[in-house]
Amino acid sequence: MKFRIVEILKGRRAKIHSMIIDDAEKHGLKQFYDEFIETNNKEVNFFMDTLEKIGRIGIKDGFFEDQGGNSIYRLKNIPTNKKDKPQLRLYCIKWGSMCLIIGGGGKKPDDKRAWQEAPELRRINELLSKIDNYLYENNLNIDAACQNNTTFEIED
Amino acid sequence: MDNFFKEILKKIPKKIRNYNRLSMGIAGRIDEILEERNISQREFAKKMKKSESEISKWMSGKHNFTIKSIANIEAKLDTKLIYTEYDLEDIRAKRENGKKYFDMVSDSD
Repeated sequence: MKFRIVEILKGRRAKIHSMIIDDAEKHGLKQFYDEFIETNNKEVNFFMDTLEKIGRIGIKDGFFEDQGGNSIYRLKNIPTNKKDKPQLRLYCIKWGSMCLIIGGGGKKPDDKRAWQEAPELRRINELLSKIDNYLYENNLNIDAACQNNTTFEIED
Repeated sequence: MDNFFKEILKKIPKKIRNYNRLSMGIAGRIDEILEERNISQREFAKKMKKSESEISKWMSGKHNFTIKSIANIEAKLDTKLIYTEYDLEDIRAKRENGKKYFDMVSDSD
């Protein structure tokens, strides 16, 4: 598997990145946006704006839900109520105190209680886990990787 | 900024942008104050007479704060979380003249 990291925005307090897997045309954030903007417009807009605000406010623990593995988290969603239950999950890697790498996300089926039971969400989490391990083991400089458009390769 | 992201930000409804600006701004500010004063979320919960899970909702950046709860947090932390136009006038006047806005109005009467 190959991956590249691309910069989405450079905020005062945090930088937001995404990743391109193998030879995909779009980075993970754009894939997520294009896939769900029609069906889950409100949730997608909340996520996108949340990322812009994180750039200004910073990566605060409260804005994320721990996924129970290394540096992988999911962004908290809009408030829940019985009528308008959020369906989408968007996952990221917190890299240090100022850098966020958005992997991608998907829809959590209503009949699944945990993300581990949803194949697509499980696939994204496993992918992020591999990349997170690679970043950690190779102590990568994200800024340099973006500037040089470096492609990294992880053995499957 | 990535061109794709710049374009989609323009399409986000103002209502959503304002909600996040206020809810995340308040949560972020509380987080900074707690960190500056070395207060844990557990201690903050105790101070506010709330459960830790309630505080965790506040800090999510998605909580719908009431004016009453903001006023209460401001009082307990002895700070301001939201500035109205009148507060800003007050601050500007204080900075320019070393006086509070109210004092300046009194002077001109």
